[in-house]
Amino acid sequence: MTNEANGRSISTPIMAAIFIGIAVIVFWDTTSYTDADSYVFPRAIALVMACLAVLLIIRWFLVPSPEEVSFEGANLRRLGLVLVMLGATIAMPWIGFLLSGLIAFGAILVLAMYDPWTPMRLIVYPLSGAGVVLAFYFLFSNVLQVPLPVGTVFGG
Amino acid sequence: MKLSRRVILSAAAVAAASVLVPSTGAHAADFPSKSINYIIPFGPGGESDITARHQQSFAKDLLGQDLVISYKPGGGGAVGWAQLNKIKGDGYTIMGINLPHIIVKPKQKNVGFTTEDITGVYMFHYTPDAIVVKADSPYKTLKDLVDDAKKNPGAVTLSGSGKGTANHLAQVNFDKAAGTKTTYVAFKGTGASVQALLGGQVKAQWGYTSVGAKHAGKVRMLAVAMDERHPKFPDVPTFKELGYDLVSGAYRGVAVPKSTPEDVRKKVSDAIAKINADPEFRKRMENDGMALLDIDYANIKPFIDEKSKGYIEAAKAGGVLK
Amino acid sequence: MPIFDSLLAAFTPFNLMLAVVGVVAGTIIGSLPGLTATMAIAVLVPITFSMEPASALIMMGAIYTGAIYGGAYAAILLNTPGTPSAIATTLDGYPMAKRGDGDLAITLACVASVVGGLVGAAFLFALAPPLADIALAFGPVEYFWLAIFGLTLIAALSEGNMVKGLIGGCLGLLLACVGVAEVSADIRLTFGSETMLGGIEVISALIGLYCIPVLIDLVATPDKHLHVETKSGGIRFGDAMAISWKGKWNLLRSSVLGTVVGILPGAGGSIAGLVAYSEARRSSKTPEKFGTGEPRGLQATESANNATVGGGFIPTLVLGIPGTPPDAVILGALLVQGVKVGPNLFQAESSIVYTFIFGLFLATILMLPIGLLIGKYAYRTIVEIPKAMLVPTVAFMTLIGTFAIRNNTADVIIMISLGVMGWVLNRFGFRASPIVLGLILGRIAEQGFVQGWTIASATGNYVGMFFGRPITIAILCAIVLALFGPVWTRRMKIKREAMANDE
Repeated sequence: MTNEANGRSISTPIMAAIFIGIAVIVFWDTTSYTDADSYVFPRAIALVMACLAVLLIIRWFLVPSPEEVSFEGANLRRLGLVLVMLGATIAMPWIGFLLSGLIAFGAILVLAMYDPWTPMRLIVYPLSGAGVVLAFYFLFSNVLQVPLPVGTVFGG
Repeated sequence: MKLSRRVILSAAAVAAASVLVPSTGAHAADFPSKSINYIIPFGPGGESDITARHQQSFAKDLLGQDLVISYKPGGGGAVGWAQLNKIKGDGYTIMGINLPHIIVKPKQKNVGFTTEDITGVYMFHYTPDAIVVKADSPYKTLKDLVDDAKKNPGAVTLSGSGKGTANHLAQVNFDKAAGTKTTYVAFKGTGASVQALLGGQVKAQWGYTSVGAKHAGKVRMLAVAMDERHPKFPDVPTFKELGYDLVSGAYRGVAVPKSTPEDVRKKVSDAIAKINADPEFRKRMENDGMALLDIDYANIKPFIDEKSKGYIEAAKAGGVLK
Repeated sequence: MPIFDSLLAAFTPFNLMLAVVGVVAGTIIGSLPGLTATMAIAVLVPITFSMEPASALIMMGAIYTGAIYGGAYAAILLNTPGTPSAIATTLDGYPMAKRGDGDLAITLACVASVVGGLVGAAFLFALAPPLADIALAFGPVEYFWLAIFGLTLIAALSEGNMVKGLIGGCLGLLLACVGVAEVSADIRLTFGSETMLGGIEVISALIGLYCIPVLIDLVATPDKHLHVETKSGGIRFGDAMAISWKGKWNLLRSSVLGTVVGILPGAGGSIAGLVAYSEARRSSKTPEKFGTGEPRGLQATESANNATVGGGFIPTLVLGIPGTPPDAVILGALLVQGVKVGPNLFQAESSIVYTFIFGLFLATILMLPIGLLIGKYAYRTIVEIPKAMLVPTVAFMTLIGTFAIRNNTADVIIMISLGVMGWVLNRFGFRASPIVLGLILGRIAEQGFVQGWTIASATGNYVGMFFGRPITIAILCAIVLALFGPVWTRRMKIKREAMANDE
């Protein structure tokens, strides 16, 4: 991410450009509002944000500060975690909360495992994990009366 | 591994408990044969919740089954209504509906449902609009307020709950009927709008009869938007008596998913009617300032259609709809 | 002595049991991200139909008190505010836990919560009817400036790069606009998506922005979550009492601030915590330590947010205007029971309210032993549980907790997306806290501004409306102090040192 030629990280202008882009999108969205009360605030904030982003670029030109942006660590595991969580959420209405929760728990357990899988761990971790999921499921659906999705695939 | 053993034990207890709880039969001939899930598309503590709670406290005695209330708030009710038709239509999941919300919101933008998507089965009450002033306000009658508004166009400020709402549309309609120009200040909910009134931030409030009931002594109502005077407030005139044709308020009812069979729709309607007919229930609702309505499944469609016309016209005049 | 009768009525074995059960349940519920006091109380409403109003109030008040304190656990140990009130708790609580003082932080939070709760309850007991007028003195413009005051904290939270902090704040303010506008009638920034229709719920945003980045980084390395050098029992009562005694004025001031903010309907525990934090930082001789694990920051927020419990009941019971969302549910339950709220509730012949207040005192005092006990186990669990189990457990809790807020999967998707966004932005130097501040304060600022502007347009006096009212001027002074106070004290310090060197 660091441009070695001039000692400046080019991530700053990229981020600034993204924020300016967001401001433009917000401004475009406000043109569809019918009520004057609705657009005053978002327009003003979008304008301020765009100005600040321009300021960020100007400062980046004037003061060279080599900002290192590092992505150290197991990025595949990171990505896996996010995808598992998103997948479980999207699957919830179909396969039900309990099943998607159990699958997500198991998958994240594997993703977060750095110790060797001893036979003891192989038995205890999944079992206690299932216990945690079941206990919370029971607490939420029966005690707190949260209407957790039951799923439509299995007849609901 | 002390922890995991505890977790396993609790899981076993959970499993045992779920076996012990008997499952209720869903196929009994008479409705309701198990508890009914009642979804309120607003957060807890609001007026939609409180009126549902009143119904809930009578359900067990009158229907033999519980109403289990849950909430699906967001988007001024739109999030809940957008999901109504995705629910299984067996009569055991019902949802609260509110006018003018289900009429005005879908006309603005795509909110995931249209007014026609909502299968209302019963409208059980409305909270009539009312102009409320502080107890020590110089406006003694509605005429005082109208005179002031005519003398100083735009200078009379009235708080109210939200825009495109019953309060706001009543303000638009009243300004048209009285030929006045007043300034409507929208607040988030009736609580905040009463706070502004009591704090003297505004001169009057477009509130509800329930405000008059809840804050008795601190506020006065100048007129109520009902056909006849409210039994709890025999001294407060209606707009009609004073020459303004205004009968309006926040209407509340119950809807079912579209997939619900005709006979079940009828049965849900009957169940709500049964609660509505209870004298003690009526007394409690009226004490809170509500006005009861009995629009059952047979009559609800023409009722909503008729209300729609007026609401959409007012929403256009109020700048909410293009 | 009717008051004495109320005291006795509060201490019946049944009420005592309700208070214990309430505090335990509340603390546990508050510690789970996503579960709020509002929800716990709403679930209990049907049970209260068959209870005496005073007993119902005691139980609901105990849950409420416990839940606000319980929010501190997740904030300290997982960098995730369990309730919005605990946002500012993460700022110093999590750094304390990271350096191995998690047990001390939890003990401090408990002591501070008890102090705050007692101060709030004391104001409710002694001065409720006159204090309720504060709620009425705050108009739209005052709320607007209060929100701006809260936003000044961005300056303190942006860690060296003010411009990035301000951009983050703007992003938060824009996120607050998403969905159906609460006051005006438009549907904003949803881009036709049904997922966005409900807007960005504050608690799901908190879970996403604070907790998901922690999880994302936890799976990326084999390192342990918290570093603990010495084995401890999980509570450090002696140390905590010593620090609390040293910071007693900070505790008291924060408690009073919390009570006052609690009285303002719609402001609530999150703003109380932020205002108290801001004040503690401003009046500190070492403001630069705030945000790096400064106990005083933690004490300020935890005492202030528990003080809002008593404070919030003041407008609820005197005016019938709920001070906070849980108060709205409690008020609804009372209405269904036929209890009329109003100033006469506070006259001696009506014992309900005093029985309840004594019950609240009782629950708050009970929170000390109960809170320490639960805190001890919460701490040990988080420290001892193997990472491979901690990550999926917390991840699962964020899923179920976020769903439960509004019973909607859309909120869960928004939560995860915001979490990824927060993680990426953090890499580029944009911190989560300014975004969260913008999100929370955005709605209050916008509504206050629009309402103030509309009212001013009726009179034509815009300047007088926004700058001329007494409370407005006071808040404006506080804003100036918060922005320039630290700079000024630093300059004075340098000057003084320079003078000392000259001599």
